[in-house]
Amino acid sequence: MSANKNNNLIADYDAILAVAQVYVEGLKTGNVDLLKQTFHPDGLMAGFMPDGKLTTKLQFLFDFTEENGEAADVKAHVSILHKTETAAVVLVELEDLQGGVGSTDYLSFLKINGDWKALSKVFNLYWGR
Amino acid sequence: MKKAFLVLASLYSTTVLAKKDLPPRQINLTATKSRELTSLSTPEIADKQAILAVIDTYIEGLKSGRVDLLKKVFYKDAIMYGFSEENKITEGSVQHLYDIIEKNGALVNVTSKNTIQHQTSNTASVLAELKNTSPNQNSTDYLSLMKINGEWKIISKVYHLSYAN
Repeated sequence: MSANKNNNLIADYDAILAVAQVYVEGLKTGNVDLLKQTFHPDGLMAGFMPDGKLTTKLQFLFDFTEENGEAADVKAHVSILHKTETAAVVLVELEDLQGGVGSTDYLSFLKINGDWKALSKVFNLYWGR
Repeated sequence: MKKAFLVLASLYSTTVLAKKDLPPRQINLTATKSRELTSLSTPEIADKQAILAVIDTYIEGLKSGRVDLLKKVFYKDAIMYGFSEENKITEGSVQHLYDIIEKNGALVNVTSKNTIQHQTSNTASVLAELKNTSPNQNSTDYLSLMKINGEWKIISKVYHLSYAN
């Protein structure tokens, strides 16, 4: 019988979840450095703000966090939707961000030089009601 | 927010109380109906079809070597990152994809199984499992989509290439 190897190592699952946790911690504490640590410098963030404006720049996340500070009450649920040896897609559900806003985030990850980095964040916000 | 939640909660208890007075058959009917309405809402189904149609156009673009089809489904500032099976990284703009297809032509034998992994009213995450992107090569594509001006567009593609077993 030929070898049958599992290419999805638990160490990788753990590493991805740890990065997602740094992202959540960055939001919670309003720490832009933690957020910058999570993302590839040329990463992208896209989504609609409550005023209907479309943002497609990652810098917006850093500016927004700088301006609005911590989201001390934030609650997060993280799931890895799918992964391979070098790529992963992660779902982050957030409740009680600034102003009680919620968000569904899709983060795409790539393992570059041994580190998992978020390349893109696509979000959908919830507010009111 | 808190007030709205209280209103919802009181509405719920009113409904539950009202249901108590109904004969059992009618209760079941009401329950089924409301479940159908929430879980199979028409816009959601229409969006699922629209999302999968965009992914089909993406695959068709690769298969036929038509960059114009690819440009139709990717957002103008979309990014593409991934590793080849030799561990060579491609990073940056989706322009890389257009250049590769322009240079190497159609991926005539490509097939794909596409799954919407998660979806909201404005965003979606799609897994596209491609076979035969070149002989003995497969690709796992993670595509993030957004509904912009009523049209679903691919915002980012992160992929992993592997040798077929």
